[in-house]
Amino acid sequence: MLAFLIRRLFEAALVMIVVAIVAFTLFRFVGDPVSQMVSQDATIAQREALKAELGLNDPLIVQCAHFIWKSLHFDFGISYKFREPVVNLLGQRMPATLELAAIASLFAIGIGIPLGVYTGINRDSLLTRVIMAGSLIGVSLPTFLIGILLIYLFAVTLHWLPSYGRGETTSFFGLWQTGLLTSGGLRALVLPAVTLGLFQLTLVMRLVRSEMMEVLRTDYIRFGRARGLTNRAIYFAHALKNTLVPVITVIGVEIGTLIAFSIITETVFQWPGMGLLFIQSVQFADIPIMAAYLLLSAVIFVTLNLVVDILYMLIDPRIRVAVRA
Amino acid sequence: MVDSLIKAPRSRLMLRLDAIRDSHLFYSFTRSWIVMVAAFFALLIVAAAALAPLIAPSNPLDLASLDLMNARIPPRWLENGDPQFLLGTDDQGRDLLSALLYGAQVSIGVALLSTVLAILIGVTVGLIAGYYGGIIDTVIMRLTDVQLTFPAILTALLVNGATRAILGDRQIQGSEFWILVVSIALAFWVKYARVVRASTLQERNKDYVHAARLIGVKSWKIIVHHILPNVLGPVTIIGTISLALAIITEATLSFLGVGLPPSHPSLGTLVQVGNEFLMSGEWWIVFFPGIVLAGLALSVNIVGDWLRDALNPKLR
Repeated sequence: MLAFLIRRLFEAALVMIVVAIVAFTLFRFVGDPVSQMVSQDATIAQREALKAELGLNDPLIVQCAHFIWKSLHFDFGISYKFREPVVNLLGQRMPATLELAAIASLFAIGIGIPLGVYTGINRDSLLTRVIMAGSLIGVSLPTFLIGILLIYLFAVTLHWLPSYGRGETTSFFGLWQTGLLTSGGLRALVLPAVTLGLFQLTLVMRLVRSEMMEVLRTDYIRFGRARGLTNRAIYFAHALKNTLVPVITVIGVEIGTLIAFSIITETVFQWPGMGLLFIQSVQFADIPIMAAYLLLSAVIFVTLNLVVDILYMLIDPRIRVAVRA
Repeated sequence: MVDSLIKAPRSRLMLRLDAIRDSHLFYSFTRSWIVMVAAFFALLIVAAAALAPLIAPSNPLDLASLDLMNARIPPRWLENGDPQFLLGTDDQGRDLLSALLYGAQVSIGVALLSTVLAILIGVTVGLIAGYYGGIIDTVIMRLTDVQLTFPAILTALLVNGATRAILGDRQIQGSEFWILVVSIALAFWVKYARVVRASTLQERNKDYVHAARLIGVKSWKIIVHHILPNVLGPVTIIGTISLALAIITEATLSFLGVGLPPSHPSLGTLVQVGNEFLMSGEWWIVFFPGIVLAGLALSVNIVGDWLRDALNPKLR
C-alpha cells in the first residue's frame, strides 16, 4: 500500500515537472517577457537592465528552477493584456468556475446514476430505447450548440432563466464570490450547469448501465434472488454497490474534463470564470495567463487522478489485496 | 435451362463487388437502417461540400458581391423571404446556403487533414517506440501519459495560442486554416501512438519479423513493409471515430474565436456569428449551420460506432 502510494506520488511529480518545463518554455521563449513590460520607446540599455533584473541572462536551468520556485509561491508574472498579476486574475475568477463545475457534476451524477440503473434493469423497455437514443445525441452534439439551444428555449423564447452572467453574487469574507446563496445567482447557474454536465451525464449513465447489466448476470445476484431478497435490496444494496468502482474512477477523471470544458460553456454564457479568462488569453496571446492556466489545470488533473487511485484502493478490497501481493 | 445455370465469367471488378457484397461488413451494414441513413447523410454533406463552388448560388468569399441591403433576410418560405436566398442571409448579406456549403467544405477539410496528420504522427511515433523499445519507448510513453492527463480540447487551445504568440497577428492572417489543422492533430495523435505501439510490441516478436531480421532486412524496411500493414487495423477504426471529434473540435475552436476569422465561413464561425443574432429573433443564421454540424457529427459517430462493432471479432 505504502509502496504503491509512493510510486504514484513519484509519477505525479514527474508529470508536474514535465508540465512545468512546458509552461516555462511557453513563458520564456514563446512570450517575450521584456518587450511586454517596457514601454515602446525604452532604450536598449533599459531593456538590458530589465533583462538582468528579471534574471533572463542566467543559465536556462537556473531560470527554469526560478520559474518553478515562483510558481510554487503563486507568482505567475503579470498579464500582458490586463497589466495585473496573473494570480489575482485567476483568484477572482476561480470561484465562478469551481461552483459551475461542482453543480454540473452533481447534476451529472444525480441524474446519470438513476438513469443508468433504470436502463440497466429494464433493458428493452421503450423508455430505455428513448433514453439511449437521446444519450447518443447528447454525446454527439457539441457543447456550445447545446448551450445555444438551451438559451434559445429557456431564455429567448420562454424567458424563464437568464442567458448570460452569474446573476447576483454574495461575498464570503471578501475571498469568495458565491452565486449559490441568492435566487438570482442560482437561476443564472441552471443553464450553464446543465450544458456543462450533459456530456458527463450521458457518460455516467452509459457506464452504470453496462456495469449493472454485467453485475446482474453474476451468481451472487442469482443467489440473492434464491434467498428471496426484494428487488430493491438486490438492485441497490448488491448490484449498484458493485458498479461504483469504475463509476468513481470515471467521475473523478471527468471532473477534470469538466473544468476544461467549462472554457466552452463559459464562453457561451459569458460566465466570468477562469475558462473565459483563458480563452481571452489565447485570443490575445497573453502567455503568462496561458502558462499559469496550464500549470493550474495540471495540478487539478494530477491531484484528481491521484485521489481516484487511492479511493479505488480504499473502496475495493480486491485491488488492495492485488497490490499487496 | 442449362445455360442459365452456368454463370457467365465475371470480370475482375464484378468479382470485387461480389466479395464486398458477400462480406460480413456489408451484411451488417444492410442490417441496420440507422447506419445506412447516417452514412447516406454524411456522404450527402461531404459531396455537397466538395461541390460547393459548382452548386452554391453565390460565392461567400467574394466580398464585392455582398450587399448590406440584403442582410438578415429570413428563409424563402417565411414572410419577407427573398426567392434569391433559399435559407436566408446573415448579417453581412451573405447567402446562408452558399456560406453553409463553403463552410462545410472548410470544416470537413480541417477535420480530414488534421486526422490524417494525427495518424501520420501517431503511427510513426508508435512504430518507433514499439519496435526499438528501451529508453526511447519509456520516454515517449511517459510523454504521452502527460499529454493524456489533459483533455484534447485544452491541448488544441494551448497549441493554438502558442502558435499565435509565435507568429504574431499579421502573419496569422491566411494561415488560420493550417494552425487549426496542426493544433487538432497535435491534440489527437496520442491515441494512435499508444494503439500502434501496443500492436507493434506484439508483432515485433512474431516469426515473420525474426525471419526478416535474420536475412538481413533493414530495420526501417521491416517496420514499413512488414509491421505497418499489420498494425493499421485499429487505426482505421479510431480514425473514423476521431473524425467526428475533429469536426466538433474545429467547430468549437472556431466558435471560441481562435479558429477561422468570421469573414471565412466554417460551421463553427457561422454558429458563432449566428449566436449574436439569436436574441433579436433571427434564428435561422444559427439554426442551419448548427443542424448541419450536429447532423454531420452524429452520423459520422454512428458510422464509426458501427464500424468498431462490425470489425470487432469478439462481438461476432
